[in-house]
Amino acid sequence: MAMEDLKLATFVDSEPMASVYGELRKLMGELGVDVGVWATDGSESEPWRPRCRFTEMCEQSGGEIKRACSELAARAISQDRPASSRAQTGHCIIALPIHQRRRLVGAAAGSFPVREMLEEEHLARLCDRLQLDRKAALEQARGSVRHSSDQIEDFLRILDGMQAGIQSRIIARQDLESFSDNLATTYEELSLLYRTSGSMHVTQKPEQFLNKVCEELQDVMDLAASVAIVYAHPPAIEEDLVVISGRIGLLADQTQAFVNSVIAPRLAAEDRPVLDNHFLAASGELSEGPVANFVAVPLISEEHTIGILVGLNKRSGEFDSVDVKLITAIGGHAGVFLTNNNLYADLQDLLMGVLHALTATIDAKDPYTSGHSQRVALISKRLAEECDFDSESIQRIYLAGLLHDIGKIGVPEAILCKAGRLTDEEYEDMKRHPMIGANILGGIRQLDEMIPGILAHHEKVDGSGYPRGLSGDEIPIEGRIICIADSFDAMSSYRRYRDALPLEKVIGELSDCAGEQFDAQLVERFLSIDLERFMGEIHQPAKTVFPFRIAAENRR
Amino acid sequence: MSKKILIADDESHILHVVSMKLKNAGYSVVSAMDGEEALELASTERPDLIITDYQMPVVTGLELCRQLRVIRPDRDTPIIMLTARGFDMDLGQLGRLGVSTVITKPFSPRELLDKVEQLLAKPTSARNA
Repeated sequence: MAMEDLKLATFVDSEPMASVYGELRKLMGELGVDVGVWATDGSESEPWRPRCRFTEMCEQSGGEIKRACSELAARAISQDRPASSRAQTGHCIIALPIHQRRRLVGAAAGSFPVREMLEEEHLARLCDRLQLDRKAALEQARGSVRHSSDQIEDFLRILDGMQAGIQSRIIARQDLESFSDNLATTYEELSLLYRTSGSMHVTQKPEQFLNKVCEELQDVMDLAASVAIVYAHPPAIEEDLVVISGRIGLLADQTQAFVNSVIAPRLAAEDRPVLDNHFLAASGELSEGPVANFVAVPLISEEHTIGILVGLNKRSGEFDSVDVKLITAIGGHAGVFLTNNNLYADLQDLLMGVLHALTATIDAKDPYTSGHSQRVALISKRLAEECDFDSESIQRIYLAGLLHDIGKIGVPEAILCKAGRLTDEEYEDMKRHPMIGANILGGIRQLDEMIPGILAHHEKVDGSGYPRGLSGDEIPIEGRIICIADSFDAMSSYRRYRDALPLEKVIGELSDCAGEQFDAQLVERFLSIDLERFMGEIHQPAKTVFPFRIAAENRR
Repeated sequence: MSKKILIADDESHILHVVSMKLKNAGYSVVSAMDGEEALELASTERPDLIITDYQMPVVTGLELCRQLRVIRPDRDTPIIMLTARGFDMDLGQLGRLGVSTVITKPFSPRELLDKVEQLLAKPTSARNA
């Protein structure tokens, strides 16, 4: 652009300036000076309309005063300095150039009648020339005239001070509005960052976390939609996780396909956040497509791209560096969350694997009890669910069920696998397994909570159980639940000394012993389950060592 | 005498925030709300450093830099450019126009002050090199 192309026209924000002029005219009017404002091109920005009755009377024939004002305004503009003159009528005329941010934008000009005009001779000449009624004119003039011509300089100063004061007040108000506006936006962004970093609990599901992130991002950045895709990486995420907040006129799988086929490759190629404000204009074949613009960042975990976070169709204008910085920070948070979540899932997976392997070693000692621990865990979990326990308790009861027989490691194999009846002495040995189990796990802080259930799974509500002979509510609820689960599975499974009992028989046994061996209320709950179907589920040969993923199902 | 800095931005909150930061650090500051005003002030006030927005009405930040080169080819006043774009910017072109640093919005006023101090600490000959 060459110098001569520069537009030298001013860009006056007309609305606020109009209020400057309006106020100026009003205040000066109260002082008895009728003011109008002319722009640099000679047009009237604020009309000169006399409120002085005498001036109005004079103006009715000819408009000499207004003409004088307009001419003086033009002079003030062309010379860029204050000016004063007298109208033919005798009115004093003052004019003052107006600047806005050092730029001349126009001039204010005003008029006021002066005492000299009341002199008989002067008034007579004026009335003759303008064809006014002398008496009426004298009356109006007496009521209107307040100043004399030697005050002209004073009024110029007043006019100047007033316009500067009003202007700076309006600029200050505009500034305040812009500050407040900006502060509000900044607060929104800041609180989004606070919220996401404050809600990165590792125990929450990735979907939950990302849902919240996408919703808030959509809101704060004013997007039509925001999308997060996390590529499958077991055990934390089994298959590609797609979270969408908002709508852009594509179905969920179309959105996923669009992000994967169009945005992800660009992200991979550029190795930094990608921003495209002209996507719609640039994409020929997709010219009717619903995506107008987008901003995208990769989700990074330990230096690998594990997903993508995208903002689609900004509703208010274009994406800028503020949006890029914000989505980059949010993407960073999401990356950290997903990394932690993955580590957590991994640890959970490892823990579950180790615990299952440990219990499998017990069950492996006797082929007839194969899978028993796992089934007791599942039955206990199901019963706990039936009792509406919270997910944390359900997980605890599941694990206690899984580990209930771990103490059998300390019982001689000859006793465990003995085909016939146990002698009293052997039975005493056998009865030690809850205590041994509690001792084995006692050293592991994280498994502390499982111990009451393991220790009490052979207690009976009538007090005839072991090892402590507790009764009724003295027996921890975990123990009472596992007791039912253990007995149910033992009766309904094949043993070397007997066949599996038919289901009706097992149910009969449980009912008969309710209130003696078993907690009657729990038996009632248990029998409300469709047991035939449930047994079918738990007796299916497990595909993996782990019958279900506690890490994924029970995490809050 | 304190060094003089010219700051041009059409967003008044940026002008105020940056002016305050610089004034508190002991600089004297003149501000402009568009490129044209900045151009005038650059010749009348002879600032030691110029901070300008990229997108401004009347005369853009880019055009301002170009005009400064034309008007005062002898002087190499360091220029810091503020921008909300941060992308699709031709850094080479900006460099040729005398832009020493590009800072994307939102920026930390503290960082901007550091940049200013860095640039003003350099002897003129080093800037010429």
